This record gives sequence, C-alpha cells and structure tokens, in this order.
Amino acid sequence: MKKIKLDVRRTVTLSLLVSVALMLSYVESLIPPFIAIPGVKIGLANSVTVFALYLLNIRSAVIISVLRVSLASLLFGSPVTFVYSIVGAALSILVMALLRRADFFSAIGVSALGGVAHNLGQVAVAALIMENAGLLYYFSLLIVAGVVAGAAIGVISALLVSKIEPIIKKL
Amino acid sequence: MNSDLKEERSSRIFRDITLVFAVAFVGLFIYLITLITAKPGGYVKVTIDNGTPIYYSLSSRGDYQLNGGTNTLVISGGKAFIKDADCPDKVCENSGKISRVGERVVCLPNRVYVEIVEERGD
Repeated sequence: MKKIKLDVRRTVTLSLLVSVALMLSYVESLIPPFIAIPGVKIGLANSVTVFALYLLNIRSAVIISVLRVSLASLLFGSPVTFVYSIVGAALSILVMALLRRADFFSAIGVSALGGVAHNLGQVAVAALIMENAGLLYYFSLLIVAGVVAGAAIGVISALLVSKIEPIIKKL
Repeated sequence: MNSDLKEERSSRIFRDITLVFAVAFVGLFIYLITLITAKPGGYVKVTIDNGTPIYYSLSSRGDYQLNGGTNTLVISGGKAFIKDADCPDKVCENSGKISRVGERVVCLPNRVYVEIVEERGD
C-alpha cells in the first residue's frame, strides 16, 4: 500500500514539474530572439531541471528534461530543433549532475556551467548538421551567453529551492 | 543557522562568482582574438542544405534570392547581410552585416548558410 502511495506522489510531482517546464518553454518561445546569435536564449525551463536536481534526484531531473524537450519540440518546434535541444539538454544535465555530486559550487555555479555545456552541445550539433566546423567562430560568444544565462537561471533555482525545500520536508 | 554553515555558503557563492567571471572572461578573450586575427574577406559563400556552394564577390553589389526566395542576400559596400527571410525567428536578419573571413549568418530553419571566405573554393 505504501509503495503505491509513493509512486503516485512521484508521478504527480514529475507531471507537475514537466508541465511547469513546458509552460516556461512556451513563454520563452514568445520572447523574440534579442541577440542575433542562433541558440542564445535564457533557458527558463532549465530552472525546473536544476530544481529537480536539487530537491528530487538525477533520474527525475533527466525524466523531466527529456519529456519537456520532446513535448516542446512537438508543440512549438521542429525535428531539427528537437535534435539541437536534446543534445544540449543531455550535455547540460550530465555536467550539472556531476557538479552537483562534486558539491563544490552552489546551484548558481552548477547552472552556469550547465548553460555553457548546453550551448557547446548545440554548437557541436550545428557543426555536424552544417558539416562545417567553422561554426566554432561563434562558440566563444556562446560560452559567454551560456555562463551568463546559466548563472541567472541558477539564482532563480537557488531561490526556489530555498523557499520550497522546507515545505517539501514538512510533507 | 550556525556560523560554519554560513561560512560554507558564502565561500561557495564566492566560488560561483569567480567561476562565472572566469568563464565569461575566457569566452570574451577568445572572441577578441578571433576578431583581431580575422582578415577581410573576398567572397561570400552560400551553402543551401549542404549542397554545392555558390560564391558571390564581396566587391559586387546586389540583391540575391537564395533557396528559391526564402532568404534575400544583399551585398553592398564590401559587406553582406540577409535582408528578408520567411522563417519566424528572423535570427539571420538580425545577425547584422558580415565582412571578415570566418564570419557567417546562418538560417537554421531553411538550412541556408552564408559565410565570408578569402578565395573562391575555400
């Protein structure tokens, strides 16, 4: 009986977080690209991934991330954006999970490096699709964009974690 | 909150800030180097969907319809830019004018790829 109860709770938590992440993806797709470099965005939905990484576990964060990217590409993207997003997300979550485990930085640093990893993954896909490694010309700017956006998302995530953690612990 | 925990937290935030600035600095440094070492280009190389590239001289002047009209390339005054694109994100239109070797404008939705090269056939 207890086991079923736990599964329901987990399913509901994950579903809620996926829908929040999906909404954030949608909100972000409404923001016009304000910097003229492909791939530069804030990554609002990533705050949910960081949140899950801190308050749930790596597995949950991976599930949320994969579901969100798949659904967002299906709803507001294309197969091409799916490939870009999934590689970026995979690399980002790998780096963040390792850093989370190393416990050297707070959520801000973890998210910042996750943002860099995300952008590097996208540059790698672009280089493969375009069959031209020259795209690496922009990689320096994407590092800067990734670290800035990632740090901003990290601040949001850290705030969320510190506010919500006590509530979850009480449950 | 006990003081040890507080100290641990503030030193972690210090590491975070150092990390962010260090990475941003390295990125900007690499960018500056690519800017400084970039040479003025001679040709605009247009590749559509990984097909055979088409070359336009940067010293020419004109509007060119790319990919059957999905993107309009303009070359004027030794600089190239995309004036019109039918895709929704308009990243390529906002990419600005390019003139140095290695600079590029990419339209991912239409798989149009515009790059500055030194010579024809680069």
